[in-house]
Amino acid sequence: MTNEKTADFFTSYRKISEMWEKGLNDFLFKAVDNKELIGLTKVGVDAHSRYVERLKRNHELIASYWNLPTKKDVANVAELTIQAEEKVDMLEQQIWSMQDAFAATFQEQQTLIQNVMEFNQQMHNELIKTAKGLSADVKKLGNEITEAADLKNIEEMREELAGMKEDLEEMKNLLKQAKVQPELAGSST
Amino acid sequence: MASSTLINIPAASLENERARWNAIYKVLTEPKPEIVPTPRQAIWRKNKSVLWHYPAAEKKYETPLFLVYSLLNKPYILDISEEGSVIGNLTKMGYDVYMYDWGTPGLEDRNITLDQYVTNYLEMSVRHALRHSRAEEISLVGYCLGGTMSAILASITDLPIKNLVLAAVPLDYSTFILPEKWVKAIQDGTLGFDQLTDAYEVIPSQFLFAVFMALQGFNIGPNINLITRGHDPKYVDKWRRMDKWMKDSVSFSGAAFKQMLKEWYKDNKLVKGEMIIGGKRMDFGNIKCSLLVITSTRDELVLESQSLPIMDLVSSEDKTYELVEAGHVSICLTGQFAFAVDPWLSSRSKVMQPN
Repeated sequence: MTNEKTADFFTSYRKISEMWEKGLNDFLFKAVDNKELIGLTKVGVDAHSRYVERLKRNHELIASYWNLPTKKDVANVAELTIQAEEKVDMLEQQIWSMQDAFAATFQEQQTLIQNVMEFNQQMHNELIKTAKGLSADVKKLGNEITEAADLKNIEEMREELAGMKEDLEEMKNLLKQAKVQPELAGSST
Repeated sequence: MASSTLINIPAASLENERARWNAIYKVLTEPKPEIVPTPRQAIWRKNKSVLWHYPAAEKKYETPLFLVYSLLNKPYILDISEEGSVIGNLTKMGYDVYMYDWGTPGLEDRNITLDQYVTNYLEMSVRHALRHSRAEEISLVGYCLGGTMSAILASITDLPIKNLVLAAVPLDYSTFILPEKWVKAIQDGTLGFDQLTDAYEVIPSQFLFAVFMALQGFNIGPNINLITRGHDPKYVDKWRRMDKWMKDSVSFSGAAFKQMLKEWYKDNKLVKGEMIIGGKRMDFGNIKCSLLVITSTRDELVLESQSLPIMDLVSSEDKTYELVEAGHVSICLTGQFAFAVDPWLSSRSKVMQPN
């Protein structure tokens, strides 16, 4: 049985390098983990800081003698621009708040107008409905009045008829009397 | 049963070798590649910082995404190449992306503190993004130190943050990548950098680059990788972009640096909830939005134990932890970050309603 393996120079090179890198880093990690080195670093950092401070102080001193602007002067001017920018930002925020407040008020106003319009429409509809009802009622009343007028005529006719009946009765009585009187006259002659 | 092993040594391809050594020669002699960003528009500028808007190729989600990268590096690692762009991939997925570039502070910014960075810069930029997008809510995605700043903001703000994603985020400084005795020396004040910070006022980019290099120890891996994969033009291109970004470090405000060393590294105030930001006491317990925390398996700068405590500190009911197979930088370099975030984020972002 044979196992065929492909050996690429670069792959092997990378693997070995990775191995070395990891080994060296582990070694370095352990090697630097000591108090002496930390103390030495502190001394170095402090010395370097003092050196930079002195360098800057001297630089400022020379620049002031020659009346030259330094990077610090430029930075101070630039700081004013940043402050102005901050103020613009604050203003922008206030404008936004106002815009939002206006938008909210406008929205409320819109809602209010909408409600008023809806109420108006409702009133209009109610009015039309009432008017329709009223006209129906008026019509009905009119009919009733007409009917009432007819009834009045009948009453008058009845009264007339009653009058006529009375007249008829009267005529009947007169006729009766007339009939009796000739008979009386005849007997006397 | 006897077995024999045959070692097959492939003949060196002349073509490959020529390409390999040509690429190495180019890397050594030619100028660094130009990084062309995904189409974007600056919607707000303040001091040196810029808020960029990358519109979605085809907008799918109403909730925009706000990316915050580290203060210690330039954010173009998130948009380093067309193929491997985190931002490019997110816009292709349908997100409207906003990215905040902190800029490189100058001497005039020496007094900017972390509080100011959070309240005057980051919070304001999120407000601008919300206003610009007209969205009701936003997803905040913070990477590395940008994640720390995002977490601080989320714990003190009243802004409508719907989702919070924190990737490779250092929050617990009870331990960090330095050797044990160095960690102790910084924590008990034996080793301090206040005098150095006062001297420089703004920490120079070269100093920070040197610190990063020192933290990586013998970092010969990238050079070995270039030699071994030099015949692959795609890899060489990616390598050159990464190399450019690595060496393109930024400076850091002295006041913020001092505050960071004292309040984070020395006193570990973040997880203790003792830090005061803009007059407000920050407390991760105030975070109630959905939370995703991502750490990478090969992260040599931020330990998993530095990110994990936030999972127990927040009040969020919806919280997820993910461990991704990647390195601290490679997760962004390969664009993998977009694919790690999307499945979680897509289910928590408001989908666009068809008109």
